[in-house]
Amino acid sequence: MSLQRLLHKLRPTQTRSFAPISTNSPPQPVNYVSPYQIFDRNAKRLQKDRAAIRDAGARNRTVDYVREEVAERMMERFMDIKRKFDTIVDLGSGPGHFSKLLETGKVKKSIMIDSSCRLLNRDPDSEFEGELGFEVERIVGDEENLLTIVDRNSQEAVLSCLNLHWVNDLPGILVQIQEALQPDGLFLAAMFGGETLFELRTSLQLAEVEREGGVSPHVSPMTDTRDISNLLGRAGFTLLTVDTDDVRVAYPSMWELMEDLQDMGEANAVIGRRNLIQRDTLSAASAIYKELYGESNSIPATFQIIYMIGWKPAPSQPKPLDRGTGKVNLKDVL
Amino acid sequence: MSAQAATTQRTRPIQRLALHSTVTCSAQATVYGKCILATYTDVKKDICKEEFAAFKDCIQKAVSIIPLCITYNSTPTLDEEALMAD
Repeated sequence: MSLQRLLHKLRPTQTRSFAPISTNSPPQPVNYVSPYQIFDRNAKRLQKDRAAIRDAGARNRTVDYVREEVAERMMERFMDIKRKFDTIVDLGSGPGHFSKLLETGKVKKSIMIDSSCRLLNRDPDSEFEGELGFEVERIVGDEENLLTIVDRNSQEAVLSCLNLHWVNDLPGILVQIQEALQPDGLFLAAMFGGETLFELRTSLQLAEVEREGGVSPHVSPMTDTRDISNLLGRAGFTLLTVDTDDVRVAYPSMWELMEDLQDMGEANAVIGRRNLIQRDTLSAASAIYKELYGESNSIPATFQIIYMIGWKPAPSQPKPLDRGTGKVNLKDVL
Repeated sequence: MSAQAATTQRTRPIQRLALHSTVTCSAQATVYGKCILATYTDVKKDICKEEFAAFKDCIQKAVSIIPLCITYNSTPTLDEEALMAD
């Protein structure tokens, strides 16, 4: 008996030579980032800072055309809301493309929040609408942590013009905005989504595949329109309005487009991006862009904008009636 | 002001690449682009190798001649560093 036990001990323990022993959590790779970590926020802040001071801001002002256009279209939506505000938060304002269009009769004060200090302070206060007491407050802070900047249930309205596309945790920021709003508070935003820069994305991909035999991220992943309404609903907003709009810009060639993106501070900031594009790939992409999408002597670039409006729930808001409370028979109407 | 003007007039290598790949060698670029266009649903590495070789050859020849003055008005002034980031 004891001998048998001894033999059993001497026998080598059985090992599995192919499959490793299963553990509940697989080991994390070295460069592990959480699933919500897509963009390099620090690189983005540096890109914006650099863009704002290049040629003393002249280059950055030249490429304001997309943001100014979108700010105007967003202002149309804002003016449709028949309400006056004392204070609004302009989240990720940049130099204040949207806040500049505000009128004193509608809004008395704008709190501009942006992570890039230099971009935030690019333009002087005198450029803002209405010297008759329109106030501008600038706060340098991370847009991703809104609740560390403003209190819960404190804001009448949060607006954001073309900034949320660099936020890693979009569901999280929407929840934060909802928390920061007072009951019946307004959230209105415009962000790049869906098909934005699809021409540049496909041209670079084709060029990389043909020249180097693989692809790497050069254009950010973008949010889909359908996702936005789901996310707004999930964050607890009511009375949602979501619509999209395309802004198409013509450039002489891909090189001007890339230069302008860089001057806007919108260069690539995806985590794990290659920090080098070979010259061959660039010139190949330029030829492909021209041939695939080019018009007679220009190339188009599409910016797709998603506009979203949501309200924080409040008892005073109109609500749908309960089921079965209808008094009129639809048969009579139709 | 004059210093600034001087810096914007200086032609960076990337500027010359941009100019030659779109203007000087536009014929070769079109040939290469058409080749990709014909196969773009199934692109493989080096599928348009010869067309690209001609395109690259033209660019290299053009780049090696450094002109005294570039007369292409909308010459982009790309930062090489930033292009790498793109």
